[in-house]
Amino acid sequence: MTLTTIFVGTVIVATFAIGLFGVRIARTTSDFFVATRTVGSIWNASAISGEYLSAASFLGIAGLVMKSGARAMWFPFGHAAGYMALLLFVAAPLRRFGAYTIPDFAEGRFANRRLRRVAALVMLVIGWFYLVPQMKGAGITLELLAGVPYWVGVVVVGVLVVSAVASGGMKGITYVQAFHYWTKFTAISFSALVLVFVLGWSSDSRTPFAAGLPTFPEATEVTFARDTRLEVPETISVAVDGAAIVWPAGHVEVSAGAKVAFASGDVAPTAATVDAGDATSWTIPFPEGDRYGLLGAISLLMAIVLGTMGIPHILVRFYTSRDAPAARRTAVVVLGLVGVFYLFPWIFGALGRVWVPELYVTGDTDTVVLALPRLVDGPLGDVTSALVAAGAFSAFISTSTGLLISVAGALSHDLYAHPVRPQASAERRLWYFRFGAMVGGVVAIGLGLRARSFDINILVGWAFAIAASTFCPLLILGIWWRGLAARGAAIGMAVGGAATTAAILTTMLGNVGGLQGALLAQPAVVTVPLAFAVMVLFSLGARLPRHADRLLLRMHMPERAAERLHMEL
Amino acid sequence: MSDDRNTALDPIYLRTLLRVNLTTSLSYFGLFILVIAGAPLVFWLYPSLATTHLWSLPLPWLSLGLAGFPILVLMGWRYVLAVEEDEAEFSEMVDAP
Repeated sequence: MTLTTIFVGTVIVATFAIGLFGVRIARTTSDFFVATRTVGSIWNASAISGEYLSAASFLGIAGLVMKSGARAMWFPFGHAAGYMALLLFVAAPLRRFGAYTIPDFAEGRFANRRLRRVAALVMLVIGWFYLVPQMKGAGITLELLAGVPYWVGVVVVGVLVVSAVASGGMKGITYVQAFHYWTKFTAISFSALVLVFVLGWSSDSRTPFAAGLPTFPEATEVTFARDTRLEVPETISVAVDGAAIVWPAGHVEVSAGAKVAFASGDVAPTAATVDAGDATSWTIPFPEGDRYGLLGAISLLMAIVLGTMGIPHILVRFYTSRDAPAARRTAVVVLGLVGVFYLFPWIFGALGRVWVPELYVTGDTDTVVLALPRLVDGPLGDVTSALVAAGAFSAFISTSTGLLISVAGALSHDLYAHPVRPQASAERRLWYFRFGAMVGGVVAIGLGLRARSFDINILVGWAFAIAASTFCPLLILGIWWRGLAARGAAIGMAVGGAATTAAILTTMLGNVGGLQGALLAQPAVVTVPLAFAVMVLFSLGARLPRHADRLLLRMHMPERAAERLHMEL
Repeated sequence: MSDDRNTALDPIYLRTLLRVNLTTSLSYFGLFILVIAGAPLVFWLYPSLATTHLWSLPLPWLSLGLAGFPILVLMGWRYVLAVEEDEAEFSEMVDAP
């Protein structure tokens, strides 16, 4: 516990370095919103990766793999592949354009002030969708580490993040985010290797890919935090609060506070929210009878791959590249750093199925990364537990600060100061920004308190689906097609965003089956082409900005050629 | 955005640049789609592959959890080299007169 406190404390202190250095150095408004100083590709790529690898990557992927098996393996691959789409179509041209944020791009590219506000609104929706699962990560992590109720973690980390952002802004953030990447990478790789070494990967019958349902490796007592409905696949004898009782195959209701003891070798019952499946369907990506499995997988990959470029806090960081070629190289390094990170989280999910099946019972599979190291004895176990705790904190704090800066910027600058108080002094703008951070943070905390039962990765997947159906067509068409007009861009973002959000809300509220259900749960395959089509359709015949040619030339003209042509772009 | 240079050639430059850059980006995107949509398609069409084990890992886990990442990095790196070559060529061309 002491080692864990020291490690987590270091991560938090490092985060506040943003504030400590920021207040003294941040003299100008632009310094506050983006780190305007350029840094080298490796540093910048570490910082981008640090900000990108959130609670969804550090905790959520392992949790979803433990829960759904191979069906969750699209997530890590897709999350890395997103940088390929960003590299091919966006990184270099956008760096040449010189826009800090997507709302900046929206106004600059179309010479249209109203489009900035539309883009800022979309950014708020994506930002909050992405912040909520980070809050959940904080809640369950503190619950497990310190034994405090879920809401404490959400509020404590929420307040921490708001104060870090409100005090410092972006100045100095590059090095802090880079530190966060290496913390997370060290934590996940070291502990995965320790666990494989100590617990063994496929010793005799205890392999995650063996046939059969997950069984308890030893006698296990589970305390239920909430009323839980359990599915019992095989009749077992248990002790509930010390009294022996037989649970017949079927359903069992357990009330909050009950302590249930399971015997070694018993098949683990599963919470109603979990479908542990038998080993065959857990190891394969498309279980038999899953008619829309392929459609769902393609749609999910489409959302993640095309959504990455529209995640509010990611594109901003490419601005700190020296020039367009450096931005491209940075994207490749990010691909490598993120890729090497994703080699590890799913290993926890697979080991979790064998070694901590009690998480199927409680439904808390999202905590598997934190739970597994507790099985390692001695000092090695202490170090591993402390490392994953530090990594988890690093994950939700780094992503939350990055997201909250974007959200606060959209609220204070794009939606308030820019249209209403364009004459405000730099000092006033800082206060607007701080107030924006507070408002953004309070909304995220409020929503996070209600998100206990949602899978971290499902929520993050939805944020990506909205980004893919709004900002992705805006960026790709805006960069590559001179005919895109402000009218088309605005209507396209509105239609794509509304359609995706409606699909998500329908899925959250009820169970729809069949083809409609599959499409509502993973809407990108419909909403992304829809947004593209609407943007093109409503741009035909519309008025184009006067300098459309020059704006596109600025994005595509190589630096050396521009210099030779004495072009002021 | 005001310079006293002759801007008559701008539309030609733009057309050339868009054509070259888009050709390179789209050809790598095609390759990329082949990899990223190919993985689910193969396991959907040939379910027996999904249960094949290699080094005690089922193929979907091996390909999505390990093998896919180096392929992405390699593809990204080749694209960067290709596009830098394109840009050097264009810069030579405008220098020619």
